[in-house]
Amino acid sequence: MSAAEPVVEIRNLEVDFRTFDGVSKVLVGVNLELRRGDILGLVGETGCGKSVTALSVPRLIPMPPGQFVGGDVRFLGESVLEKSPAEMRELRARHIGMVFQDPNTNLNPVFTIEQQMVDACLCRLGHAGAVTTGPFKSWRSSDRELRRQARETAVALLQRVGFPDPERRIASYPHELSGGMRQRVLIAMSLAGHPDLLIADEPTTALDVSTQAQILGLIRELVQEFHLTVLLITHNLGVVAQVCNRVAVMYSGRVVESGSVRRVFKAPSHPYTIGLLRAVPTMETVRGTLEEIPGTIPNLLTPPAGCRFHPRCPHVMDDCRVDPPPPMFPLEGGTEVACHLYAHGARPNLLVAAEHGGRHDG
Amino acid sequence: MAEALLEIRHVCKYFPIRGGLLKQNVGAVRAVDDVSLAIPAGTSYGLVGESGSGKTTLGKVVLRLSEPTSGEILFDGQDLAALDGRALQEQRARMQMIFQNPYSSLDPRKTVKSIVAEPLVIYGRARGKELDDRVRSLIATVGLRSEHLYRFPHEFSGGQRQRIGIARALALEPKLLILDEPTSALDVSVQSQILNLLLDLQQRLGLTYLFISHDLGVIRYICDHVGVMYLGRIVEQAPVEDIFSRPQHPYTQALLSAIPEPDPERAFQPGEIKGEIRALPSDYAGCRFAPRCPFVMDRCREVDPPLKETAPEHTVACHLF
Repeated sequence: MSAAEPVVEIRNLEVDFRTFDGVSKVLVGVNLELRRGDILGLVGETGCGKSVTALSVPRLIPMPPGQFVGGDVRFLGESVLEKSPAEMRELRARHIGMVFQDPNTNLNPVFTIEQQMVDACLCRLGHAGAVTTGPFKSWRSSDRELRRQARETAVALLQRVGFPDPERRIASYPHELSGGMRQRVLIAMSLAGHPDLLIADEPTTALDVSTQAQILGLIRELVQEFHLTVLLITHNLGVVAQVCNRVAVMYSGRVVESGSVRRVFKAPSHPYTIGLLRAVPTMETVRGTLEEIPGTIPNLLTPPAGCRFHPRCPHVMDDCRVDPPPPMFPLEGGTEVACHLYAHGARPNLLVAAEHGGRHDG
Repeated sequence: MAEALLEIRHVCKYFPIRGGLLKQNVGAVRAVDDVSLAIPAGTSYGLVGESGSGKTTLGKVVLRLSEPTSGEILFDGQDLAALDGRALQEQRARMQMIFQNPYSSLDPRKTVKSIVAEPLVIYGRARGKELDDRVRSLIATVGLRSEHLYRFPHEFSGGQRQRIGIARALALEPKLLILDEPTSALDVSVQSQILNLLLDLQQRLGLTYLFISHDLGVIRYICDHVGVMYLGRIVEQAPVEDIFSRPQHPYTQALLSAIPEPDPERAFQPGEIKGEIRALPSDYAGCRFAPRCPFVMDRCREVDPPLKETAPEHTVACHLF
């Protein structure tokens, strides 16, 4: 793994969504870096900006209402914000693969897997012209040959992702497949162009645990085999712990903590990360001791000043309530945390403090 | 074991498959097949399983929102399956359901007040000033404030909506709550708030829970007894500690190994379980887990194993035992 050129570099990214109610500041200065071979888990609650951050790389944020306000997104060293639509299409086809949350809505129900896979393979391999969109397209023998090759690629990819009997079942329609199988089809499709980056947006949330385990195992294998860099969006901390090597925790439009999975899970620094880890019932949680993060996520139209987590934070200080929000402070082991508690290089023992100040009711 | 508030005996729910020229019954989907369980008053029973295992159908059958094909449902000693009309309505007031999706289970055109008041109005339990007081105290019980009363569901977050759903379910002072995946649509920080609220309510109001979930961590936190369902059958049933420390059925073991724990130090070794849950032909007589089981024997494909007690209160349906 060379640490030279980052695959993705997001610097101070700011994105607004203009709505009828006002300007919603969805991202306020997101910093993120993915080096080749990284599997970065992007964690956070609904509405914290995980998906918007990920979609900014292939520039798929709907505009309007979305709008880039500041910062930069660089992919393989080039800024994606300056590219033309044609260049972006090329980038999305050849270099970025995406797997979405709901495999039911991301396959077209009226086409067979074969039709969809072949078209995807053609686009990703740069033969978009051979896609059967026009009336007489399929008559040209060169196109037929391309489609035959694309079908072979598709079958090979389906075989690789563990789709049973692909030669025959590629003719199925999406409704004939189970959720896990559909997700495998989407993964196969995203790999067709040998992408550098795989963006997986909650790839296992809609699946059962045993299927989830199979899909996670598959993703881990494919990362090795295809030299992928993965941006895995999830709210399941277990998934991050078992699949990723790095993690970035987002809260309300900002990355509040990032670092290696080992360090962040073992010694979480940001009060939000600590709260999140303690709010998951695990095999060891004793009844009645599950901690809560009080309150709810802030409204993005009228976010709190300063650190956006301060109204819910058990360690809130005066500094937290006023702008500017805390910058990222580096800690030992490469972890970075955006919290005023770490302003003076000190590392307060929050875990002990949380034990006393945690859950009040009973 | 204490007196059971809810006891289900050999309940089956078959959905007919119609086919052929005359749309005759050509078979049946055995969604719930010969399930028996008992929940002592004041405790929680967790029903775990993958989608398609029949957990939700069982929950609906208990409330008779779906008619059981056969079997007995004893609620407080009375067989619900034999009740009709007024008598059934009276019993239903004592058991309520909380649904998975707080976005679709609340009427978007009603205010919180009328949502929570509706059961009281239907049953004629209160009116006027008294109704108003009851609604206010219910809202306070679930941790909402009276300023929320005249708002509409879309103005609330998922966790708050689930609280409204809980307030509505508590309105008739039920004894039994059937909770169908009450937290799976929520974020973790909100999930923990709702779970603690449910534990708190159980203690204060002496409620009995039938808790349906696929999240084993949540089940372990809330429940006293656990039943693992697979394709309509309960394959293992035990006190919660036993299930997690000594899982016996190969399916339970696989399910437990498939949960990714939020601890990177712990190695994740899934993949013992192959394939996916899949409906079997109606005339299949063997163990339903046999096609995916790593320990499958010839006998498993022919004879369906009955539930067998392997330890006190611990029953398993597997030929290995």
